[in-house]
Amino acid sequence: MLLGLAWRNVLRNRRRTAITVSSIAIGLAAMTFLWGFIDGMNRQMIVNTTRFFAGDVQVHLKGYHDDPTLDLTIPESGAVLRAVRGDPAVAAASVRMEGKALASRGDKSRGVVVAGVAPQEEAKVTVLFEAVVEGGPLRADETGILLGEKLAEALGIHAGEELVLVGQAYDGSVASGRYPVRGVFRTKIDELDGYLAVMSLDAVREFFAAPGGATAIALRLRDRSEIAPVRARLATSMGERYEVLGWPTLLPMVAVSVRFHEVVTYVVLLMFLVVVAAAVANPVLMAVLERTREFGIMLAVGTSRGRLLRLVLQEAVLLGLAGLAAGNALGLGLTAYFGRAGIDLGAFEAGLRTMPGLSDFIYPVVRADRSLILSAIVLATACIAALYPAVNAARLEPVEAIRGRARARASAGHGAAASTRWPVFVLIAARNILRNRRRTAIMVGGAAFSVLAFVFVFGFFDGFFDGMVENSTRYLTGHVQLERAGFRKDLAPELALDKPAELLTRLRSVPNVAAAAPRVQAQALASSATKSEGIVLIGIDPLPERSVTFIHRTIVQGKALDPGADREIVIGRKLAERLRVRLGEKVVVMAQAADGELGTAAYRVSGIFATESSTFDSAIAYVTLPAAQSLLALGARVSTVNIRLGDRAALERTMEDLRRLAAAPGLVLAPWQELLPQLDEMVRFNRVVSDIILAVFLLVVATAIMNTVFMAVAERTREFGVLMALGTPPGAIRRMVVYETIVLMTLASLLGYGIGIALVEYFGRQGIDLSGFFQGYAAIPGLTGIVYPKVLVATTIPPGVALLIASVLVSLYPAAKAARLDPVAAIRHA
Amino acid sequence: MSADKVVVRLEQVARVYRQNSLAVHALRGISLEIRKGDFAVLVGPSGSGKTTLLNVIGGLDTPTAGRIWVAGTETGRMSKSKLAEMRLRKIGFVFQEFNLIPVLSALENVEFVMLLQGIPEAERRVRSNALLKELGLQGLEHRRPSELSGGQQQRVAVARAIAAEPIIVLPDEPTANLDSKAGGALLDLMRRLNEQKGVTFVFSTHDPMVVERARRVVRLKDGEIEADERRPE
Repeated sequence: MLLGLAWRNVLRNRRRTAITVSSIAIGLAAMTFLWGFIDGMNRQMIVNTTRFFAGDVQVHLKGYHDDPTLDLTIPESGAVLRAVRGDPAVAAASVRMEGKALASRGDKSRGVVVAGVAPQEEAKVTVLFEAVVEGGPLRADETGILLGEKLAEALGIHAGEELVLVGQAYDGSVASGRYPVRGVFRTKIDELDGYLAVMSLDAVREFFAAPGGATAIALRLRDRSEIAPVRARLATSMGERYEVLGWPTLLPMVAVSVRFHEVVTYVVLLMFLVVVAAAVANPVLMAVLERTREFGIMLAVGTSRGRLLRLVLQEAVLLGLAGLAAGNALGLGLTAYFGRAGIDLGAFEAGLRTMPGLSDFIYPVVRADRSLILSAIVLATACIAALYPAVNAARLEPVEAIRGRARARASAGHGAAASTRWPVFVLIAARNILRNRRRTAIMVGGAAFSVLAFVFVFGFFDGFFDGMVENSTRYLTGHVQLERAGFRKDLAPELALDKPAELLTRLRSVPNVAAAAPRVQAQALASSATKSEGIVLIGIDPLPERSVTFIHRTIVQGKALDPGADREIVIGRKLAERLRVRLGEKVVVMAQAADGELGTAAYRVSGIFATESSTFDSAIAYVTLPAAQSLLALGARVSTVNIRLGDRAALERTMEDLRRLAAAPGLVLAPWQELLPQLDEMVRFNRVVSDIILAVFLLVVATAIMNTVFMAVAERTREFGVLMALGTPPGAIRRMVVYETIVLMTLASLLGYGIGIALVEYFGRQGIDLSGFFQGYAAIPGLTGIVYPKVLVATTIPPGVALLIASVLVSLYPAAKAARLDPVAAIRHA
Repeated sequence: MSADKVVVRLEQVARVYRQNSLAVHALRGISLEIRKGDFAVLVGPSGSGKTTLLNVIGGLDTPTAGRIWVAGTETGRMSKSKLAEMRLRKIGFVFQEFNLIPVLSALENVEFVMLLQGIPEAERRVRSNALLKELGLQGLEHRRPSELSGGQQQRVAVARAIAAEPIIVLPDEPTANLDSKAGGALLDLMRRLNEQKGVTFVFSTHDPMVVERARRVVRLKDGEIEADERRPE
């Protein structure tokens, strides 16, 4: 009986029902779509990056992942292979033999990772051979090599030509061989395209003199979500000697991106929920206020307060269920459609290009578990939003209610004489806002929260990326690097700058240049008594360097380089571990000098640094500028001048000044975006993602606002009829509704920006500790666990302005409806 | 002031409503002249067409057949905005449920129509204050409708209706929501305005007290004029 009554009430006021249901539906659809989009993006990243080479899981001898060395070669790979293939969750497994070598062609050489695979087996695990863009794939029965596109470019080699590999064999002897290049592959993943050389398993075993050896077994699982149980089973069955690693460990950069997207998604979904709650609370509240008299009659004829409460709640549940049906249909429909058709983000291609594993098309994913969670939360939200008006309805005094007065109605207060300098319709609009305070509070609260959420999320993004950029540029590159054209490709010592002292004086005179320091940079081989590692050797002038980068502050053992310490070297902690050297021990550095000869020098380790980036810590070593100049036979020349700006935001303008002052044929100025392309891509890519979130969010908020304005118009139908009877022109009615929205949204914006900026400022000082989320991911240079949100006008203002404009635009429709009312019917409106 | 000057003329006016597929004939060929200074009531049972006739005269509703002239101008085929302009300049409405603008004070409600007419602020203020005083609402100027009694609200509504000096005021059941004392006082007030200022009134009503004080009684039945009787002064 009660349910029947609730159902009829829902059907009775179709407009209100439509507004409530559409608010829920659009909110739910937007959340479904957004989650599907992020899931799709993450899945694509994971699939593309794992399927090219990493696989879902890899098995190594324990310790190999941290220190990939031939010492950790699996002697009995056949038995291990049989064991992993015996696991029912494993779809395919491929044995690999990997090692480091130097690839050379002519006068160009590069450190590479040589991977030996059995082509037929490998093709069942990964799709590397499908990424071949030049030449052909590898065949088991022929010698030959596949190279990454960037590697081939750096060596200046093409399919059909030959290269020489030199390395250290398993037994310690020198390994070398000449191999024809069969093909070139392009995966768009830097680690593969720039460093990987693939040959047949037998050829690599022969090269490293390790017959039957293997360093890794890569697995493809039937179901990628089964990684944890598979790891556990294999770890148990194979015992202590082996490590079984899932893709998140193998590809930390991808894992951290996925994790970051997930964290952002949760925050965004939470914001959506609040907006949807406000959008639902409003019509339900209106529905109760509108029926005050009816509830009074029900109470008068003996309906208990409990029943009335249940009636209102049941109505909300019915509305919620209808909203769920419509929202799921719309959201899942849209997601499924785009899941097939794909969403073309080609326009943002620059942002997607080197984001690992992403292409121009994103295919959103429909997931039943996500929809169930969202539906449950949205329904609960609708019910909670209805609770307050339901309790209010149950507490009505019957006599007052029948007279049409809700007990808690806001009192009007004595109006002072209106200042008639204000247009009267603005005045009416403003007073209308004060008249129904609860509605105003909900609408302003909802919209203010949206603005606040924008400000905060954007502040968070801005702070996150600003911190990353700042840290990264502080570790290594500075903001701008002056170099010879082509230098960065190979760090070739002969591409050096003449007369650095003069250049420095000129550069330092440019406004906004805070500091400039000369450097020598070169690829080199660092060797200890037991091991050798490829490094980037950087020669620095210690004092000026300190105002450009803060590497001296990351020293964890020993001390930073001082001027004149020309026999000392400072290395990263990870490099020290790999070389197995300690403070005070010797490291021999070899590099090709500018004159083509091999330069060799021995240095004493005087300091060990640790940044939060394993890339830096494992591959960089610092010596003094004179030491590097002497090693590389550069004389007084330097490789680069690195510049720190006073204000990074003014980069563009300063670049112009710098170009004017330091322009010379063959010289280029590279901004940090070029020096740290991965970082730049990540920043830009996440901008794209946040823009998409913003757009969907704006749609939901705009719908909520339109619905609220509709409710406000419906509630005052009679008033509009009277205004028309008095001769108010339709245009003035339209304007009044729009003014009301503008006043409301201005209030909301002020409130939202006020609280939002205050929050960002507060957390900007305190920092938000996310290290828990990013634990174990140290692959992204400059990524730190603590985020300091930051208000940037350029990203903070547009959302608020867009929201204001969108609200005014969406209020035009209900405003036009109000202006088109039939006055006779409107005056009769109950 | 010529008592014979026609302010509103209706010629064979009909109004048919469609309710679902049913045609409801609210007015059937009404012909009527309202002269300046009339204090007329439209009486008749519920559904006889009183309110529809008032709405058609006031330009809130448009006839489905026949012609209407207000102050010599035909209004039957005017656009919505022209009709709004006509109502603003020439018609004053008083509703059964007062229908003041809830967010405006008594004074602002009275000023509202003048403001729409573009009358300067100083003049508006003077005229509104004078009217409120005349209608016994002195001291209540800054109260909002919700702070006034029904009788006070209806007096504000009358003040609003006559403030802009319309050629005709159309009160629709003005006493229906008032007790007899307040209703009587309101009628006295309107009668005084009619006699002293020559304001033309056409009421629709069920209230015998209103009919008693009218100088012209138009009886409607089923959308037709049954009788039109003028009473001696």
